[in-house]
Amino acid sequence: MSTAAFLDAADLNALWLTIKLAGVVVALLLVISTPLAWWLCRSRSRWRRPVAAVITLPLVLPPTVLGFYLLLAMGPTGPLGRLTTALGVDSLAFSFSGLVVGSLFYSLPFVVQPLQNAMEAVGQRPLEVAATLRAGPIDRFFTVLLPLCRSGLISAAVLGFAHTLGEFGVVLMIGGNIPGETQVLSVQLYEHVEALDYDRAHRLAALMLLISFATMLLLQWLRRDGRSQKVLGF
Amino acid sequence: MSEHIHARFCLPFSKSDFQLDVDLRLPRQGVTAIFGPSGSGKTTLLRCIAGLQHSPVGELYFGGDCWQRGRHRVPCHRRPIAYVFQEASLFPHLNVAQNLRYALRRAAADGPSLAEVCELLALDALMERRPDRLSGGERQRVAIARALLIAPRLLLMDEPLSGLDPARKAEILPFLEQLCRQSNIPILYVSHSVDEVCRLADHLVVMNDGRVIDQGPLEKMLIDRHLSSDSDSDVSALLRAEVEEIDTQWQLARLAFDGGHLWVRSNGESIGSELRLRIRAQDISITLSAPSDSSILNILPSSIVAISDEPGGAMQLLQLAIGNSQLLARLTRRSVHQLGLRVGMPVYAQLKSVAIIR
Amino acid sequence: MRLLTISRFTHIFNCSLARLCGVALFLLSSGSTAEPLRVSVASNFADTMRDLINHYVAAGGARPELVIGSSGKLYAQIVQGAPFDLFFSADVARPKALEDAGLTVVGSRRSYALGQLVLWPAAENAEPQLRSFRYRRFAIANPRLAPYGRAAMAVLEKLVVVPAGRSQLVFGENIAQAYQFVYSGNADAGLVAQSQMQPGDDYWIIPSDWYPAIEQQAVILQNSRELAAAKEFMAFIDSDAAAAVIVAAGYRQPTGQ
Repeated sequence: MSTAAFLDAADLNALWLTIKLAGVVVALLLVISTPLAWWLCRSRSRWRRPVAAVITLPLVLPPTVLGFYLLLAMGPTGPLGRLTTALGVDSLAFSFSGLVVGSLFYSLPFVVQPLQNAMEAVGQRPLEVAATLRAGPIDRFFTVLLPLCRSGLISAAVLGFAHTLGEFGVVLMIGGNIPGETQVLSVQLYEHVEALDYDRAHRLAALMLLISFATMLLLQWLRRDGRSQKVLGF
Repeated sequence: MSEHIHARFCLPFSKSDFQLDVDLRLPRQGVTAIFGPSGSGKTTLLRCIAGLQHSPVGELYFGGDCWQRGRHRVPCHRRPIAYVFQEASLFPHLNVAQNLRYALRRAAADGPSLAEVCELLALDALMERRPDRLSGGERQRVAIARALLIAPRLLLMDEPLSGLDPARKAEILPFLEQLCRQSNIPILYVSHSVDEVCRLADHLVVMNDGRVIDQGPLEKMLIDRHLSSDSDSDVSALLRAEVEEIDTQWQLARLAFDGGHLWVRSNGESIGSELRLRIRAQDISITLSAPSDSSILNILPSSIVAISDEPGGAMQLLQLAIGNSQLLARLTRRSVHQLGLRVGMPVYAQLKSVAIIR
Repeated sequence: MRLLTISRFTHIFNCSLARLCGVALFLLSSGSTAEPLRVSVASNFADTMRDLINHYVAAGGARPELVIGSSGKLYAQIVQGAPFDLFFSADVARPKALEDAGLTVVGSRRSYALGQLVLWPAAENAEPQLRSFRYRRFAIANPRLAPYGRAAMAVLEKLVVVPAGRSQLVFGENIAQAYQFVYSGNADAGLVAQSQMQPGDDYWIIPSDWYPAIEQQAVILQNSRELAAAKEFMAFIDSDAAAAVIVAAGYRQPTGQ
């Protein structure tokens, strides 16, 4: 039965869901992280270090810890659960939007850090120059900072995408393994392994390996591009 | 009041020390050079005026317009200034034309046209180049052009030539001189080079350790403060003169200055044109009577206004008055002693060389 | 010169390694003369096994070491030659697979407990409640992976709430996660194990004939180095004293071995 196609319908569904999740998460993360990275770069607030530490926490924290707390937070008495109840929307647990929220936390450092590095490399001077040319803060942000951070933005997007693809612990904790909703590749793979269905597991594992490798290859490629960009003065 | 820039800044460095502590009235016309050794606060002053740096205590009026007072502070991008930075500051992601258009799009309505500025700074051949394909001098020319295109009411220049080698400096100075002469925008020009200051400035502010030591017309400052720069330890005086007569037989030009006349080599100047002459103190010797057998063309009757010691002990500086103009002469202590030179004595100044710097 | 340095370094390294190994061997051998029994146990039964061991020790037995993990992982480790003496699985399939592979002591496979499914939380009229299935989210263990999941699915199918209510189901990787989903309030209710219930929890025991028995089986492993002690411990597990502990923990006694 599995000889007909490389992936069966359930696995194909999981693949599509995973790509959708990673795409949505990266798009949201870029929007969230760009001002955040800028603030981390510029702020002299005493909150800067604690905030930076919280953002980088998922780098060292086991994803299951994050998943466990998210599960509690999404429950009816948890802060996220109360929020969704107050807003009259469905609970986040066991839903695609819940996975998106979880992945936002989980992949945040992978997007914020390349952006922050890129912004630090750009430095103050180009923005000062723009200010003396009558460019206001928003104008400077879009016409100077973002174009100069191009390679950092690409790195951030690719890393965030790749990291979300491989997400497992958080999804396992808050997903509930619902096909088409929360059953992503990594969870599906785990289920195949646990069920001793090594044939299907192999296919999914090889596929994920391939996707991850292709993504990293793309990143190396784009980075080389970005480097030649960076040589241009300043 | 309205004809001045009034700048008062107090920027603490640490509890006891100041990065900047100034209270200045600057003319709102011509070129004002801010002169001083590195670390004297020149750039900080310029940045405070631009609004790039915030001085917690301060006041800044540009004529009648208040740019900073108490909590009121006009942000940098709302001040009608332009700023030329010390190092290349072109946007690396834009080519020359795009860099210039960046300014043009945000410029005040009454600004110069792209064509005018490109002509003034000879940029036409560079328009499609990326900043990394330009020489240092070309980059600075583009930066200056970009600053002009914004149509500033005040142009701030922070040592725009200091990053360049002498050849590049020589390439760009004529553009700056032309700019200073033609534009009616007041320019604040930070520099630690006497040469640049002599060529460009009208008014001089001398700074040290974050404070203003003295300020006044350039000629007076050169005489009073015995200014010299690190690269060029020699002090000099500045005369402004007008071409009065051209002697085509001997290829000489007769120049009139406030106090007398000078002969210099004619270099194609037209009668009536204004020149700046820089006369180094070491190029002047003194005689007590007018020599008739000297090869030196310019021998000017003058009187000694002051005599001061130079550090080191062997040399002394004489301040000479010729009519309303003044020169500096650098003599050995022994010569001063042998000739019996004293303040008030009439003497003859022999000018071995006169540099036309503009 | 360089070679010399490296070989000297290697020498020093080897010496210290040898010394370290010596110390380690000494520490290992100094505790007791015989190695302790290693009992690998499925995590859902771990608490009960600790109780059982305490009783065993109180009755004069030597204290065995516990290795806790999911049945699947323990199984994989045993296949790879893990030095366990006994294996208490949460299912039948894995002990059976080990037996088929010849990795167990012949005739040692037996059921030691039957899991009991409960509806939690449950009010007075639990059965009609479950039949009406008005839950937004209802947690069970993954039927593909966990015997409790299979049992739960059988219950739901018998009551014909599935397939209609399929979209309300969320699946825990194992019964512990199904419990977690209900505990955190993210699922309204679930079919979980009685052994997970705490004093004061309101639950309803699902009639045992509604689902295939959730048999938990144990085996003595072929490569046990303490075969006598292993058999002795297994005999204790079969005893009435052990059965009382197991029943008190929320399991049923396997009938008709």
